[in-house]
Amino acid sequence: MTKLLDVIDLRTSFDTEHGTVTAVDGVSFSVAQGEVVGIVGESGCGKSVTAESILQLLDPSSTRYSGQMNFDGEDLLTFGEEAMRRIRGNRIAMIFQDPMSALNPVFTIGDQLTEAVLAHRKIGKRSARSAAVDLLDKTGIPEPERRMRQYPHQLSGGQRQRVMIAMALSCDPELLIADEPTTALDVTTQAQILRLLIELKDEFNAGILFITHDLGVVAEICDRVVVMYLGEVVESTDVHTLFDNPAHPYTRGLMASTPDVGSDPSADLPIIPGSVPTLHNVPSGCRFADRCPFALPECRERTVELEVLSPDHTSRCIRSQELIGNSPVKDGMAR
Amino acid sequence: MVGFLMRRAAALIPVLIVVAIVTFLLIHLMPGDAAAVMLGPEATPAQVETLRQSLGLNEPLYAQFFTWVVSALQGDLGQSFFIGLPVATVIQAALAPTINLAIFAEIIAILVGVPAGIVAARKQGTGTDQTVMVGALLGISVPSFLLGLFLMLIFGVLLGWLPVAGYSPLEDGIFETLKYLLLPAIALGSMQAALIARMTRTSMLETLSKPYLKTAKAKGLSGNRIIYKHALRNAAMPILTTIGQTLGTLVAGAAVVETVFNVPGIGQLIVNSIERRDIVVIQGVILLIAVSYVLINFLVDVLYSVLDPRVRYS
Repeated sequence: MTKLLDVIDLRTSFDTEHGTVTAVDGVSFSVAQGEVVGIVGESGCGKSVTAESILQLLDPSSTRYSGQMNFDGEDLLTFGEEAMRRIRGNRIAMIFQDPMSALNPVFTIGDQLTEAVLAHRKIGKRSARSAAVDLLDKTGIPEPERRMRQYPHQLSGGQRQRVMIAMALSCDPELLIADEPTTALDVTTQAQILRLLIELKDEFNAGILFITHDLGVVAEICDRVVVMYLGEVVESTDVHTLFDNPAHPYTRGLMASTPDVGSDPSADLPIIPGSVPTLHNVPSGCRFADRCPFALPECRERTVELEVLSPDHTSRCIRSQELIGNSPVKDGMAR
Repeated sequence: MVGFLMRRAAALIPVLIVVAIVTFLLIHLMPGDAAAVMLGPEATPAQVETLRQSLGLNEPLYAQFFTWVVSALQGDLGQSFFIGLPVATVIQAALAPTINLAIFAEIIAILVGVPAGIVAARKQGTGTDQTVMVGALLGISVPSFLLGLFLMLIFGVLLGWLPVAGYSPLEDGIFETLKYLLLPAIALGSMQAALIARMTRTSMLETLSKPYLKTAKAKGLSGNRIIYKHALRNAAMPILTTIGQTLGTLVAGAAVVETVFNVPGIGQLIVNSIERRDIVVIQGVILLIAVSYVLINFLVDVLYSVLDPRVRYS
């Protein structure tokens, strides 16, 4: 598979009142055509910042990017604002978490969809409008003509997310970035939206970068997974290896704390002890060491590099080799 | 939409009734006998009694109110005691200069205040932002008569570009009118411009952090389109409220500025009428101002619903 997007050593830092913080610290991953890559992690791990860095949506006055983001052979980080504008929504489109706040409340659905079409296609208003109706139809919204005249607050959450998807697909993007697209929806709607995304991906043959904190969703739709913790990639592999042979203690912790059908409903769910440190005091050495049940004194002494365990499996842990395929996932985690 | 307008209009009725009662009572709330106050200390009891008769002050209060409302609805606000003309005629003559001045001042205030506020918000924390904010502070703190006098001195006296004072009616050409009104409009509008700029900045800053603007950017829209279409429309409600409020206070402000620039408008009329104790005229002007305040607020409400669909449906 050809690489559609190849992110190499991406660093995104913000100037804040309390100095510079690096929210994404040397992240590398790639997405191929027709592939779904998941980025997983807790809140604050930098997954959304990674997603928004690709389209450079963050406040330009306080954000600094470095590294490389090769898209179709060109480094997006060398692009000027106008060149980026032509990429956004056109070749790389994005779907956001909360479809209520992501749609402008004072414009009709039709207005916002037509605008997305017109932003990149040289066609008349009327054909843009009928293209918008077709897009809505494709996402399975009933009565697309009527929806066009409605405002976001008149639609349900699932319908709004379908509108967002229609908007994202308006210019046949090669890459779709979905930032927790189902988090704000109820479970039934969630499943429908996921199915829709996969159908549309196959139809458009686009690559999808799927940002989520939900391992269940990852198992359902992703081909490959990147696990992030505090701005760094801690493990990266294909979805089967991740669930069968997780190598990083953090990944194992995430899995242990995800309930499944076999879980005992009366037992407490295991949790990862502690909470994510703030970006202002990133621990030296392994960033996860303070919360890690497998930590050794040397974990805190030196920076831990990503270790290649197999051609398509990397993990940032000095004990990866002994953990992989070893003890059952739920061992060692606090109850 | 029609239903919304009807409901809004119906809500005006009680407000207008209160306005009418308060305005009507004005004449009775004054200390002493209204007729005696109007005539001054040298009047004879016979003269006072005659005026009481002609003003209907000997009737019972409810009868007076009823008569007053009925004639006010027919456009008859009574007779000016001092000028000897119907109040409606006096007000009508003074209305045109004031409306022209107020509209001109408000246009200047909007054209300066809204863009200044947007620029300040886009460049938050920079020198541009601080310059706008300092300018706004000056606009709020410098009294309009002082600014008026300075403008008059610089552009009227020293440079001689614009007339120092006076007014030219619209019938003699809009260009002439604008020439006479430019300086008073700037003097009057500067404070409104400052208020609008500050509100625009605040409202814009709040809107700029909204997720739907990120969506707009992710769609590939240009920076200007994001700001002027998506952000401004959402930020417009508080700005509109400020504009409505400033429009209401313009009449009060006009009293000072019209006096400084000798514009024969409502402001000057009310100042002169107070000096002359011409209560019937004062009453008429207050009724007019109060009613226009209510109508402006109604207009702002209607504009809300045009700008934000959620207002219409809620």
